[in-house]
Formats: sequence, C-alpha cells, structure tokens
Amino acid sequence: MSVLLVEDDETIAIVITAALEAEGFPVTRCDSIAERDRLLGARNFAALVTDVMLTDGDESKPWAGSGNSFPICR
Amino acid sequence: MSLPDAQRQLASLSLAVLSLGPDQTITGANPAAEQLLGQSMRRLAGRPLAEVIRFNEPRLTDGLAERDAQISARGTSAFVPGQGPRLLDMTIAPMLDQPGWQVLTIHDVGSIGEDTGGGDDAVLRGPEILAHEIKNPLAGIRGAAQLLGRKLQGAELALTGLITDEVDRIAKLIDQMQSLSRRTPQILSPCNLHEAIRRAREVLEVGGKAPAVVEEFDPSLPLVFGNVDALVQVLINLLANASEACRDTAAPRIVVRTRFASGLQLHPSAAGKPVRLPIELRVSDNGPGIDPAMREHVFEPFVTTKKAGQGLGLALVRRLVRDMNGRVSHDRDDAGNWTHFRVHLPMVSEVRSANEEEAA
Repeated sequence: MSVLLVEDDETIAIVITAALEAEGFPVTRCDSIAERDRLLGARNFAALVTDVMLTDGDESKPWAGSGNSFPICR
Repeated sequence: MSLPDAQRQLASLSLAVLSLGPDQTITGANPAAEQLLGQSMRRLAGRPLAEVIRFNEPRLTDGLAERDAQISARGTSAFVPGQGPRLLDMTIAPMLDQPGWQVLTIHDVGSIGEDTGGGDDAVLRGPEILAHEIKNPLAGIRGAAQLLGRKLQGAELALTGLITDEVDRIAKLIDQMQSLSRRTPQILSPCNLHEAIRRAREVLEVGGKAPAVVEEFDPSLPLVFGNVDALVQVLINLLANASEACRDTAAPRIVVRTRFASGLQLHPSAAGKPVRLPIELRVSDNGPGIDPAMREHVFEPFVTTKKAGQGLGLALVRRLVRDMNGRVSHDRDDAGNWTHFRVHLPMVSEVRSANEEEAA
C-alpha cells in the first residue's frame, strides 16, 4: 500500500510523509510532474497525493496516468 | 469664438468612446476607440460589439444586454481579437434621450502580463507576495504540531495546541492583510443597500455573532452606485465592531439607519469631477465610545483599541468605501451616548432615471 507524494515544498512534504507513515503507509516522494510520470511508469502505487501548483506545471490540469489509473478525490 | 462641435471634442479625447445601437451594434467610435480596437470606423460601423471586444466579466456582458444598466469597472480584463488580452477601465451608460442606446468609455490600462505599475504597485503587492511565502511554512508548522500532539497528553498537549492556535492567529492576520492589499477589479453597478444590510446580518447570524440590531430604513432610498460584495463586507465589519463595542453595556443597542440626504457631501472623484454622495448609511452603538486619543486614527491599518484586534477591519472598510467613490467617518454623541459610523455613497446618476421615466 505505497503512496506517491508529489510536493515541491520541503516542509509540507516532511509533515505529510510523517502523517502518512504514522498511519502505516510507506511513502515515495517526488517534487515535479516529470519525476511523478517517471515513477508512475516504473512502479505501482495505491494512491497519489499531490500539490496543485508545481514548478513544472499545473497539476490540476487533466493528465493521462502512465498505466496507472486513479479515481480522483479532491 | 464658438464652441467646437461634439464630434471634434470626441476626436480629441484620448479615452476610447463607442456608441451602441439597441442591438449592441457599433454606431459610432472616436479615433481613440478605432486605435484600441485596431479598426477604422468604416469597418466597425454596424458590427456587433461582441465581434470586436469580449469581456471576461459576466456582469459587463449582462450589463450591456440590459441596455439601461450603468456600470463602471476598473482593471477588468477583456480580449480584443488581433490585439490580445487587455486590461481596461471602462464605463457603460445609457444614452440620454436615445432609448436602448448605450455609450461605452474604455481606457486601455495595458496588456495583461505587462508591468503596468510603478514602485507604488510593488509596495502594494508586497504583503501579498509575503503572505504566500509565509503560508506554506505555517501549514508545515501546524501539521507538525498536530502530529506531535497525537502522542502527547495533558500539559504537553496544551503546548502543541498553543502552537496550532498561534499559527492560526498568524494565518488570519495574513488573510486580512491580503484582503487589504489585494487589487481586485472593482465593478460598480446599481445595488440595493438594504439588501446588502440583510446579507451582512445573515452572515453574522451564521457565525453566531449576530447582534440585536434596530433597522431604521428609508423605504424610498434610491439605488447605490457601488459593489454589493464590498457593501456587505463594509457592513459586516461595522456591525461586528458595533456589537463588540457595546458588549459590556447594560442594555446594548445597535441601530442601522439609511437615509437620503440630498445635497450633503460633495467630493472630487478621481477624474476631478465633483460627485454627490447623497446616500447615508449610519451604524450606531451605545458602547463607551472610541478612546479620544485613538479617534483620529481608527481607519489607519494596525491601529486598534481591542485587546485581540489587528486593526485591519476599519482600514478595509475605508479602502472598500473609497473604491466605491464614497466616504466613511465617525462621530460621537456624548449627550445621547452614541458612537456613529457614517458611510456616504453615490447614487445611480440621473441619466438612468431619465431613461426610466421615458420607459414608464
């Protein structure tokens, strides 16, 4: 039950990682859309937690998951 | 020497002026308008306005369709085919003696993305940039304190609670500073002041902060030329202040009065033209009054007489009222033991009422 966290703010990423790990979810973190797509192509994740505005794009825009398909809850 | 004719006067204006017929087609454009739209009058004549300029603000499009609407907008964005997105100051008004016709004035402030402001602009935006940079670390601190709090109890838990509470206090302060510095496009149109008062009271009721208010409304009050959201915010702040001011009074009383005070209050608008402010809104409370040493300064930011206040409520009131070309003041009636806050606002101009009479 691994979670992929996409967040470019270091402080927020540390806190969210700690909170998810406290609930028993292992967390993989990245800080860009490019890195996210690479990770999604390489592994399977149970869930994705993402920031909206990232340095390399606006995450709220629709995107095609690479092999993964996630129902989106906002 | 005779006065130059109207055509020549219009041609000399740097402000774009367009006239529209009843079907919103262009019937006239001065040279400044030709330049703004990038087309000559010969090509503009008879074309629907929507083909040459598209407004992003639905209230402008609706106002145009309404035909007798009177609207003024600052810093509103529009798209001009061939010229791209533009930032405009503009007004829409019905044409005198020509039912269904409208006159538009447009001042091109600049293209979007262009740095239009000078140093003053940067200073105004400063708090907003700062706020954005502070909010992320604050969210981190708050989250970390919450996580730690899960493992704690008793006095130690109270300490993490203190962290989250104080972070919330800073965040609230930043929100208020942002609303004070934010330069949102302001759209002015006819609005019902009594409706705004009712909405403000509803908001305070939902928040559980509703004071008992006596309404003294002038039922024949004309429409205000303002912005309904700004009016609601002004009233929320004034009513909340009034209720706080008389909280420790034995029989607290708050009175909201509206009246038409013809001929009162004259002040020059940004364009230097005198504007009448005949609509008076007064919010009164029977609290102890403002500390005389503070009276001169209550509308300045960060000035407060409250223990837990930040001193931004009345500063925001003043900014919003000024954006509506109004004035706000306060006075003390020692004999009756009342503190009055008065807001003077412009009414919808006579052009509209003349057209309405014609329609009636």
